[in-house]
Amino acid sequence: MGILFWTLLFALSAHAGHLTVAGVSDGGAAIRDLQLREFGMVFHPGSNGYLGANLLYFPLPSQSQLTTEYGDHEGYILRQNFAGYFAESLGKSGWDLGVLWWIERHGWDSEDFLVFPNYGKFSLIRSVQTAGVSIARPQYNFGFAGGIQYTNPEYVGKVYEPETDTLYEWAAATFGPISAQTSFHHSSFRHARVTLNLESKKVLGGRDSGPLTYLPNIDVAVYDRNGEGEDSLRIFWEQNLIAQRLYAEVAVYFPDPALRFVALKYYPDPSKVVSIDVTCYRKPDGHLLWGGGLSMPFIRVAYNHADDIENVFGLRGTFVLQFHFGIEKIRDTFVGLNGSRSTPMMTREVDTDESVKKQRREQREKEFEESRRKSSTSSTSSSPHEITATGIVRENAK
Amino acid sequence: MKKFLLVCISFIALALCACTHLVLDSTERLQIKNMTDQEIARLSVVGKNDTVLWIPDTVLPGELSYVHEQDFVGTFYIIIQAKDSTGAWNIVDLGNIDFDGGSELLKISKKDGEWDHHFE
Repeated sequence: MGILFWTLLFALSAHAGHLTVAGVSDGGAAIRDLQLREFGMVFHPGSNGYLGANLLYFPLPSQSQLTTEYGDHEGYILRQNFAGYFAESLGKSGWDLGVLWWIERHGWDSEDFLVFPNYGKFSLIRSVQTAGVSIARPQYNFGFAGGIQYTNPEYVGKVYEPETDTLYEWAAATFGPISAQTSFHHSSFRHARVTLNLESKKVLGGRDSGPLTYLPNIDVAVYDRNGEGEDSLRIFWEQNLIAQRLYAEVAVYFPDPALRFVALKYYPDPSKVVSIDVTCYRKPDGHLLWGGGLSMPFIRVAYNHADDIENVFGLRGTFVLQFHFGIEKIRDTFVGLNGSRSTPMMTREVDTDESVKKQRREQREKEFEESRRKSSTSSTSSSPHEITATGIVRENAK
Repeated sequence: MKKFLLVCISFIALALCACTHLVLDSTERLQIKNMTDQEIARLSVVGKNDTVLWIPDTVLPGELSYVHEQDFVGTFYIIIQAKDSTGAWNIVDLGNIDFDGGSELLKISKKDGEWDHHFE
């Protein structure tokens, strides 16, 4: 079985697509957009916060080859990110104040690394950070957020487009199901996004079934990728197909219609913590790349997944083993990123204080004694009533 | 406790170093041996816009070059220069060569007018 697995692994990795220099160079812009997109997903008035962490691991150097003008280089990709958003109500004012920080470090290097890269001649290592503050009024369901994005190229090999430290500014607003965001570099416009989250979600105070949950979520973004007025458009459509458990996703890019994907995602629970995905990515030459993945609370395994192709430098034909975590807190419930219902959880009271424990135990014993005494006294005074019931015991699952 | 410490230490070690160099080389230390009866020189990697000179040495027939280290691990297009009988230097295409990293000796030979190469 093991041999079969490894044979399959190597057979599939033999068809690995390569990283391109342009793909690695574009990674900074892609991640800046992803960070703002993720923040848009968790920024709801009334939300208490979000914690996310990812560490992507690409097991084989032959899978993450970099194609430069000289040839194909063997090396490794690193991608690790952390996201934190915390919001708290400001006394009794009715306003929520929040802070957020998204950080990602990624790159391609000739050696595998977690913290200190080798900085080979053909490496590129950079970090992208998004920080900001948010203010929201849950009562009227609106909020504003704003902050900065900072790209810090640690090392850029000479085969890449030269990069320097760059600061961007961004702002976002949300009102009911509509949200919008934009970002700037100095005075030049970088992107604008309008999101219509029409799907009714229980976790945000909506329905948990019915036709309103079948409304789509549409995300339209305009980018000025190179600062020269060459705009591109990205349209993303998320559609609930069956009971907020099966979703379809479609992404289209204009004017380059070659970059697009469709995905079918099955979430066994509507909290979207666990997912099983099948994706199909359309390459610029029209070829289709099929992929899939399995996400669990801490581990994600994927092969050729469209999300990875979009977010990891356009890397194709690779296995990804990922440490993965992402959970949002809305009021008293927890939910996965973009989930529609709270995660199923069990609550149990645990006493850690010894004196409280002792008190509770004594109380329980006293109650037990009393009930025994009562039953013994009642049996002597009058004949016991016995009730027999038959039927199905139904318990409401929470 | 001992196990926990061991795991911790190995994790820290893993985190602090670029570790794969323990098992895989990220650079290529290349030496060439001239098995032909012509002088060869200037082994280079060809790029689209420029050519990187890897081994600048002129290697006499039957001789070895010095070892030169470069960050080329993977598959690259290689050319060399060879001196013909009239004393002129000609460019010879060796085509795509796979470099696995580490120390390698590339033997360059010529059979019936065809240039050939193999690693020892």
